[in-house]
Amino acid sequence: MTDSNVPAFELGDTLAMRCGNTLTGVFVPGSKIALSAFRHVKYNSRDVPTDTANQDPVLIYMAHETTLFDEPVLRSLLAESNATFATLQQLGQKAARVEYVNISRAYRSIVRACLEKLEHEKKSPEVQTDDLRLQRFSEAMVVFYAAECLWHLFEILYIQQNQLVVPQLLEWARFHFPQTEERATDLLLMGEEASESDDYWNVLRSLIMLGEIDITRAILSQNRRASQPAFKTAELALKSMPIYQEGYSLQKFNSQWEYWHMDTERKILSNVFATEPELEQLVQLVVGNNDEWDAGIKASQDWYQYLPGYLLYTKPTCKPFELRIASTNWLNRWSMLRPERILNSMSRMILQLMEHDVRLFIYEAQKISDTNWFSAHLLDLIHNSGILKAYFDQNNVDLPALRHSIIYEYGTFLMSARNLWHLGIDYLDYCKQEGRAAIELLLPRISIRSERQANKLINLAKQRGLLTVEQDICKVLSKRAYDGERYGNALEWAIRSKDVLLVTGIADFILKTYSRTGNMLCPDTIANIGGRMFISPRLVFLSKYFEFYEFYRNRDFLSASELLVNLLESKITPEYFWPSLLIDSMPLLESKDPKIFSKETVAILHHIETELVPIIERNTDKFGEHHTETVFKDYRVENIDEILNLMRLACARNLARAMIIENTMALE
Amino acid sequence: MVSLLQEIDTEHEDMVHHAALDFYGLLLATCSSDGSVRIFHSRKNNKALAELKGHQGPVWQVAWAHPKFGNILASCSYDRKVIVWKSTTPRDWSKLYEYSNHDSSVNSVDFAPSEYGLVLACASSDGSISVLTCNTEYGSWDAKKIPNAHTIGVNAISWCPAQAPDPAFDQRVTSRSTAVKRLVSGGCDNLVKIWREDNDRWVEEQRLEAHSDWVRDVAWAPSIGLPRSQIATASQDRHVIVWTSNADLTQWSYNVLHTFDDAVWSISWSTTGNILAVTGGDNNVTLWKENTEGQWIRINYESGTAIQSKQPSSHHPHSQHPQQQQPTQQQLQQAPSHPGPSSDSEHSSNLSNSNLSNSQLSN
Repeated sequence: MTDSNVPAFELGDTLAMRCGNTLTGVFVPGSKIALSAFRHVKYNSRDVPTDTANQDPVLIYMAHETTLFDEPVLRSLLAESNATFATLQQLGQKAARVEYVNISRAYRSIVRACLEKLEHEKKSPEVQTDDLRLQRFSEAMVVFYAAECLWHLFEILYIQQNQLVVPQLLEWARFHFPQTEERATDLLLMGEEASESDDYWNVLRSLIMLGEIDITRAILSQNRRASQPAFKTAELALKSMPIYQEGYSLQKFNSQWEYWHMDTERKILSNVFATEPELEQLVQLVVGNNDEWDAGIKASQDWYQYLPGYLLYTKPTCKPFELRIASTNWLNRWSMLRPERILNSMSRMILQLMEHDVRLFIYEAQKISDTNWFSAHLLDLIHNSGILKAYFDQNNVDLPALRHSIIYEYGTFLMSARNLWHLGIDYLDYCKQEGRAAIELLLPRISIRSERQANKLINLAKQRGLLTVEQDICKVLSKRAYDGERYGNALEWAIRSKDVLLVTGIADFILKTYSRTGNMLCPDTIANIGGRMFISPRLVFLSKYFEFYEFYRNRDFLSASELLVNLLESKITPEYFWPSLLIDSMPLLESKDPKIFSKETVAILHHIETELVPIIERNTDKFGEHHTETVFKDYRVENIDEILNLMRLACARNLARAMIIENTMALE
Repeated sequence: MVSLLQEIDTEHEDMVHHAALDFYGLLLATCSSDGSVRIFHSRKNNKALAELKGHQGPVWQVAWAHPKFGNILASCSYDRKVIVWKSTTPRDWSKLYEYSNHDSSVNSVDFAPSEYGLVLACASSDGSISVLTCNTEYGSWDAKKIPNAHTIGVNAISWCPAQAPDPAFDQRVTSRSTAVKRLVSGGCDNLVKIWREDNDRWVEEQRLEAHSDWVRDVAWAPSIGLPRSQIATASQDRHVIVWTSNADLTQWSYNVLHTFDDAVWSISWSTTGNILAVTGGDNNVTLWKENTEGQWIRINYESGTAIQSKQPSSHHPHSQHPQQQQPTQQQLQQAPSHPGPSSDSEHSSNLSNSNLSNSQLSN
């Protein structure tokens, strides 16, 4: 199709029409396009309200590619075909043919089950009262009915690769034109009275044309006149018709068949059926009388309905390659008799399959409005089973590339659709580096609604080695928890994100809050950090300080003292925390029964002089005023000079006590 | 087939210039000539959650930052300012930072890939580009300016994605490590320029010449794992050009997508970079994709399945206007020229309804 006749869609937005009918559109997450009216503003435009200001509502339209899969019933189709797809990928390209036939059948039975569900659901009051849904249901049924029908035919002709196609084609035609069989069942149940039905002979003709010889015989045997010679002869002719079976000698069959044919035609000529003209029509059909079949064509619903039946009576040993000519001839005949009918695309696609024009078939298959479900799965099966390889090579079709691009498209569609992403990811996994890149782009965009879902996303990213995705999700959750004042959660996710800056930031916040208020945020989380603390020195400090805090609260002052001294010596204390940490040492220093040794006391004193005093000095302006509020946010600090003196005093006292005890012990 | 999901009445008093959905597609931000930015829930047709007032002129563009920095939105305006907004809940917004170091209207803003931190690029009519970097630890901002990036003015700006090509595919990954920041800009000198950060300075790395009029929009395609990069540019010369580079971004070749009937104002890549949306003065939005043979093909949605919009007359009774007939007529004109499934029987109209036609097989 050339560019000139590609139609476009129009919004009919009033505002857009006022300003030259111009629209603007941008892609937004979720494969949607946001559209709105557009008016070009030039660099020299004056900054005044536009002529159209306040006249029309300013609207934004969200558009997306239509898909049938918004309907929940169809989810099971997507989920089950996803599982079958996965099985097929495991089989790969080296399995036995029968395995691929099984996969093909599995796909078809998924579609059939889905059609049944659609049929059932369509009758429900919720759907019946909703016009939009009702339409969507009808549409889905047409689409998937066609998908099944085409897939079935494809399976018969290309996947099974039988030398004989007529029996399967008959089965296919019967399945897709089930009305005749339904009526036949009714007639059988009616017994003798059946022959009084208006459509009795029509149904029988139809049965014959669909190759249902046995059922026809059963119905005929119930006829009141079944014992008459005409009926008896017909019964004999139908019963004795040779059916070719694989393995038979073709020559032997042909001679049998020729004989039967001549014999039956002779019976017609000898006026055996003269008393029963309708019965004669049936037998005429069986021997392939052109006039009778022409009448049949005129009554048929679609061109291919009676083709398999016709082949049964005229060319029962038809090979797949002979079908090409047979179907073309048959269609020509059909078009001559039914000139008013134009083939719809499904009928065209059936012809393409029978004529072995698979290339065109695949091209048309992509136009089915099933968001590529059919073409993606069928092409994948073709690719994996290796059928038609020579054909594609000859026709210059790069099948792997074609399969890749369609699966990629289908996968991206699922992945960007709400609630379907978990199905899409499996398809993108088979799209090499492009699929991986798409997962990397789309996975983090799935909105996280719960921690459980977040963990699921993280696992999927982890399985694929998408480290940045994994970490970004953690960071987003951490930021979200932080904004929501759930600090424990924020810290937990920050640690999982392995982002040192983020962890440090949150640890800082917790430490600062503590020194300002004396309130330890999220103690449970901090208690459980364990070995993961080493991600950030600040987190190590927080964990260790928390340990001290716990010892102190549990009145285990000896352990607390030891840890405090370690912390003081550790060189990981953040500057803002020095006052708090040193003040913490006061009660321990003032304890009557010394907890801190002389050496450590000296160390504390040293820290007071080298860490705390410089901070105070730095924050003292030339007038000698302390800006304590900027340095000492500690809730315990009111007068810094006083505290400094108290601390020096405490150190001195403890030093004295400690030295006495230590030296006494040494003497003993 | 494309269908309309919803219509959001922005209640802006004047034209909307840009609309952007956040990273997850949940919140919609719109900006308008009325000087305000509005925030909506994207899935509900309700009233605005918040109105952000701070600009004194038309707001041209909005951009969302990656959610790992919180809910952050940037807007740029005719009033020469760039404002970065921050929210804790979708209803509560406050100014996080205001940048007013441009001498003319700021036309475009774009947040850098989140791997680089919270970094924002701004393009202005004064011909310069600013790159604002936030130190998230201290909440301070640092601005770097590229003066005289384009004479007369810079219209659009876009960041190069940060992903390095798959090492299995390209052994020379070092040539494009994630640390190298790149920008593309388009301006009134008809040029497209690629900028690279080099030791704290931004240098012009490439100058792409092919447009014959002002470049209105530039968009760097998302990285799709191939050892190449793509940039789409749209111009008033009615061309959209797709530029394709080699693995280390030293060679660029171009492909004119199409000559449109009118100037092309904006272009946009889908999230995975497989579809390009083009909008312009010919009142159309067209979608394009590259087929397996490297040709750009317009995605064909059929006329019968045009967006099913409610008639504006029934929707807003006061908007009766003679011009309203216009699009309907155009649609009618287009319909007959389109052969194919419209002539099909009722059975097939569904079968052949949509879709990406020439995309995979060139027929």
